[in-house]
Amino acid sequence: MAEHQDQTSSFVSRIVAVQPRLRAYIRMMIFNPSDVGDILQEAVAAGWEHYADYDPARPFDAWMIGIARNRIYEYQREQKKRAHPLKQEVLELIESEADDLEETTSQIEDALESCLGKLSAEDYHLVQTRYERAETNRQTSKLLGISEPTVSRALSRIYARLLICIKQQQRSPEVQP
Amino acid sequence: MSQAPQLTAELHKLCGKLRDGDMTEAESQRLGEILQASGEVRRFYRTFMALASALETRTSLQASVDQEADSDKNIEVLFDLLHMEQEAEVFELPAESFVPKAQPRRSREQTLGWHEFADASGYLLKQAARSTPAKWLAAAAVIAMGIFLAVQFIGPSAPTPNPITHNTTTEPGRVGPEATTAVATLTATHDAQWTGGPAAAGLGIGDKLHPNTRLTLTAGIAEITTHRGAVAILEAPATIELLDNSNAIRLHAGKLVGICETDSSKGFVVRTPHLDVTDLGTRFGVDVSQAESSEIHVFEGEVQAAHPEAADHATPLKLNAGQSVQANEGDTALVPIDHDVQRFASLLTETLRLPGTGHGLASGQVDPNWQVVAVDGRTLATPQPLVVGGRMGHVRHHKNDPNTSQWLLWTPPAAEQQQAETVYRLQTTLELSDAAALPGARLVLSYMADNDLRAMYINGQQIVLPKMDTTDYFTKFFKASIDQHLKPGKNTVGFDLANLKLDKTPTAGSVGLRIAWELEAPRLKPTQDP
Repeated sequence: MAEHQDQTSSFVSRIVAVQPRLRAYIRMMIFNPSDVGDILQEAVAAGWEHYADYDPARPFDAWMIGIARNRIYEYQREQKKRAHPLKQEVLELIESEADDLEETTSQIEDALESCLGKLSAEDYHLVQTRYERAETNRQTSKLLGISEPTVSRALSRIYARLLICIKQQQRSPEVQP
Repeated sequence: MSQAPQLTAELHKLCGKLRDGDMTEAESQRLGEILQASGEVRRFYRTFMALASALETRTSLQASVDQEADSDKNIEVLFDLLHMEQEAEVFELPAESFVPKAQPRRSREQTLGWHEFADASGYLLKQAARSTPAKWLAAAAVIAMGIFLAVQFIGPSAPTPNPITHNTTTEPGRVGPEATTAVATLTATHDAQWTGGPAAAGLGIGDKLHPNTRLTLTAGIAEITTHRGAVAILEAPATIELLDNSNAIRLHAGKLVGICETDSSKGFVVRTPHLDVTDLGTRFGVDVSQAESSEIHVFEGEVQAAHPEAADHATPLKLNAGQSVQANEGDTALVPIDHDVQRFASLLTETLRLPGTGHGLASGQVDPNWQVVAVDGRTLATPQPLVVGGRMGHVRHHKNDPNTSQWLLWTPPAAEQQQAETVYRLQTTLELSDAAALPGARLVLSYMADNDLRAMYINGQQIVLPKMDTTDYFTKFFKASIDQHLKPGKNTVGFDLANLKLDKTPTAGSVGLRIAWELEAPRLKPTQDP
């Protein structure tokens, strides 16, 4: 019995550890952001269902990404033509080089809060509104009383700052708070 | 630094359009071209989308846990950032791949202007100076100085629990121009809003309060502690004025609860238009809600009360616990009235929000705090994980809120769906503070189920819940209030769920549960003199 408890605990702790990069993988392959959560949910459920087949000698994230990939292909078949505006061969090229995803998501995880703290109060407020109160740029524009193009431009500026900051933090970890 | 052409602005714009789900055919073609042309661009794309994913799953739970930020260190980092902005590398592409769109190099001032730096550092200073309670611990009424309450929950993704603390006079706070004559400190607030001129502008926890300034609380609850340690809790609407005496307050209108439980705080005075109340070591409530009368209700200990215009003001009336009097405009007599504690309930109790199902998680994530442990009374050899689910905007399930509670779902395998009325036990461990042991403490539950919640168990004891209306299973919260079987520390809490179609036949769908809960408890006494 204890062994089965351990199995549950080990799956849960592995999933919790890989979830950021698993979600990032799905996010880069799926066009509609609101479908990302559903696919992640289905991938986790499938992972649990087949956990007995998982070989601990293999990296768990690669195994889960394989499961997610299958689910994504199924989703793309269901969506038919307009699953993603990028062509399939471009997506496959992006995916084939995605070994760096673990490092990338770790860097973002380590640096994101600090970099968000460096934004101006207005930019931070926009990020909070966009990602905690709204689901789209349109909803954000309504909540803040500004136009949708203004929200898009502001987000682009914010993303640029965050990406520079994250890269700088990676280079100079001694200045991290 | 390479002189290759830079596509930064266009790449950001196109990736942004993709992220926002808003792309024309021409834009997708252009993005496809530049992605195909360069591995560096593809790497940028992956990083960009990983950032989008991180922001989409982040909640400000992280931000409130991050209250430890050292403002000086962050300013130092900002200075470094300004220097580093000058040398920031942008993503560069081989010159031969496409027609370059040259971008002028921006100056440091343009990249991060000095006014933006001031905004950022000012923001950080404000964050460091104001001790805002972590978002998931919300106090409806506030806690006296020196009390720490920590509610912890287990799980690898759990943030380090932060106790609710309140600023003592040693904490940095905004100090007004007459800093040397401040007589009290605003020690805690909940959704408080103030009016009252410059003194009220931006009033926040830790701010010193000066005498002879009228302040009106227009919303929320606020706790003021005099410099002698007396605590006054106000609920909006209320108008007060601190007096020159460092242990006295005038209540012009509204309700106030006074608490004097330390030696130095005794003698705390509350003046209303119709009453002078001196606290001798007690808890009491004063209500000046009616324009022409004031009431005093003594909950514990002893107070002295007198009408300010009474001839025998020198021999005030002594009132003990359970006694209440009213004083009226134009009449110096103090009239006994019915004792009313309930009116001050919101100032006398504290409400601690506990992490609900799926708290702080994103859709698709496993909630490590919950498991399916039994089916039809049979303990499962392997407890099953529950996943945050319920489609956003799904017509059946009430929309999730990661800051309070979300649906947790589990799809039973076919082997478990054999019988009609199969009952599943979902279980969690709930960590409660010492307040759970106080008389009057209760767990207030808001719940929804997919689709029939049959019973609840706390530490092995069954609690019968009201039957759920079959039309409202997924769309409205049911409420229950439980005051039995709670204990400080770890409590095992289980819920029995059945999953039926309306015709009572078993369904192959997911079992779902959504719980939001709070602990209501009387205010604790302070444990030490300030």
